[in-house]
Amino acid sequence: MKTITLFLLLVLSNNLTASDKHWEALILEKMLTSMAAKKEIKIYVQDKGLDQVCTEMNSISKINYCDQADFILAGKGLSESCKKPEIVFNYDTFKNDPYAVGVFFWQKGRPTIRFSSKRLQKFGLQVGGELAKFVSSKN
Amino acid sequence: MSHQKTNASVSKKLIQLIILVLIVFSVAFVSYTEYNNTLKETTEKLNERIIKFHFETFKELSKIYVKDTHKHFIEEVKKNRALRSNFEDMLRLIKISTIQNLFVISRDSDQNYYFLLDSDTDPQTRATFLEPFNPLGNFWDRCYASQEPQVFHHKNSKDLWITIAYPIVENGHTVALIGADVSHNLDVNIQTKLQNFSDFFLWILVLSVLWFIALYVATLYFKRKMYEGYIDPLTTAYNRTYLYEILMKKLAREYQLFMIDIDFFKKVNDTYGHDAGDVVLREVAQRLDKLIRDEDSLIRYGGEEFLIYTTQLNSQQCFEFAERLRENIKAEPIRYKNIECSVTISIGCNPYGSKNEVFADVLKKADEALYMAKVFGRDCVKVAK
Repeated sequence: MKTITLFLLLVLSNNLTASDKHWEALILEKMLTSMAAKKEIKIYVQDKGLDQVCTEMNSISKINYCDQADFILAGKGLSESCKKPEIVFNYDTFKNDPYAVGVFFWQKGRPTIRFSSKRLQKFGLQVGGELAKFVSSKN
Repeated sequence: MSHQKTNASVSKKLIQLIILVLIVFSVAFVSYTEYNNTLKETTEKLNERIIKFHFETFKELSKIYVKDTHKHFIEEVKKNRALRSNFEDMLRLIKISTIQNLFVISRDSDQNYYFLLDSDTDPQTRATFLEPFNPLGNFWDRCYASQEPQVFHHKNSKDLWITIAYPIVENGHTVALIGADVSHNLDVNIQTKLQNFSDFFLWILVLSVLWFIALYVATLYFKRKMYEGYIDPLTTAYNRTYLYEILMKKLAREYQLFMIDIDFFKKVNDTYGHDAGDVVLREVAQRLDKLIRDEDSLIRYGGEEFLIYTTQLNSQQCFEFAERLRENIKAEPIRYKNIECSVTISIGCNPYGSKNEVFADVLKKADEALYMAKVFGRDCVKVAK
């Protein structure tokens, strides 16, 4: 099912727009909403390169203070007060960052996502819905 | 009226043109579709051969992997870094230019796929050992379950053409999959070159249609203009221009001329006015036109003079035909407002027209016969000797 889900996501995003940014925004939004229990999700984005992606996420609010955020995108060298669950964009970072609950990256032309069950548990988070299949106990 | 005959003639030509358009369009269309079908079939056959070639290669490779690890592929690859490096070298050896990505993946107890080997040497794009692999499409699972190679066609992708999943089977169980993204560069090159031919047929198709539409419109316009130039606007019979420019060029080997004059037409004009005269002229022309055949021609030769051109009539038939014309005109008075005007005609006929004879002479004999009819008291038919 998860392969079908990802495949459908790819097809859907291809139909919507050819833009990679839009495609990435769609997946990130899915990842964030599948983890969050509340409707209004606040994110802090450290990497300015992700600003355009964030503008395409309709149900996510981008805020300027990381300590008020529910999630952080692309955390790197964050202060102590910002130790919030992160979504990272590199598999090595995902393996080594104790705050990285999820990872999204491209490999061989394929969008790849993973959640760490241990870290999700640490933050009291659960991945629901169709992305639950991407939770791995190995990381 | 003459309109009907001219329209019939124009319609006949147009039908011929439309048939021609349809033939050209059909030929171009059949050529275009046939070419594209052949191209599609050829491409499919080429693809099948390429896929078969890859299957053979991966089959040999999977055999080597299983043999070299003594049927403990996963364990050996996981623990032996040098072996992994060796196996990746093997992948690079069989990686031809059309293969974009060539790797080996496996599946863990969570049913998540991860990379074991990758032929890519670029640290930026290379998948690290045990890095997650998200399969797009369920053919990877199918390959795992069926132990049969699977092919996925990326029809809308710009970068990939097909993905092949080939199982590495050990003791009757699939332990890993060889994955290959085969680039469509070769196929694109062939298709791009062949596309020019396809475009050529398409252009012929489009241009032929456009050309014939233009021809159709131009013909309609020309026919209309020509038709207007050869028609007498009052009676809608042909005029003298038609006689000399068209009819004289297509005279039959033997033909007949009937010169017709409305008796005492000047009196009609003088008594009832020119409007009444016009009505008489129009009505006489209409009645004459109804009695002639499609291949005959009715021409307004002068003020109240008409000329009928016929073919394939002998002297007796000419006389009988002329009598029918005369009687038809005489039978019913022509009505103009409250006036009933009894009109008669005199007819001079020359049944001996020949292509070898000067037309003016044939016409003159018909005119002389008409003169005789008038001399003999009008409302009669005289046939030239």
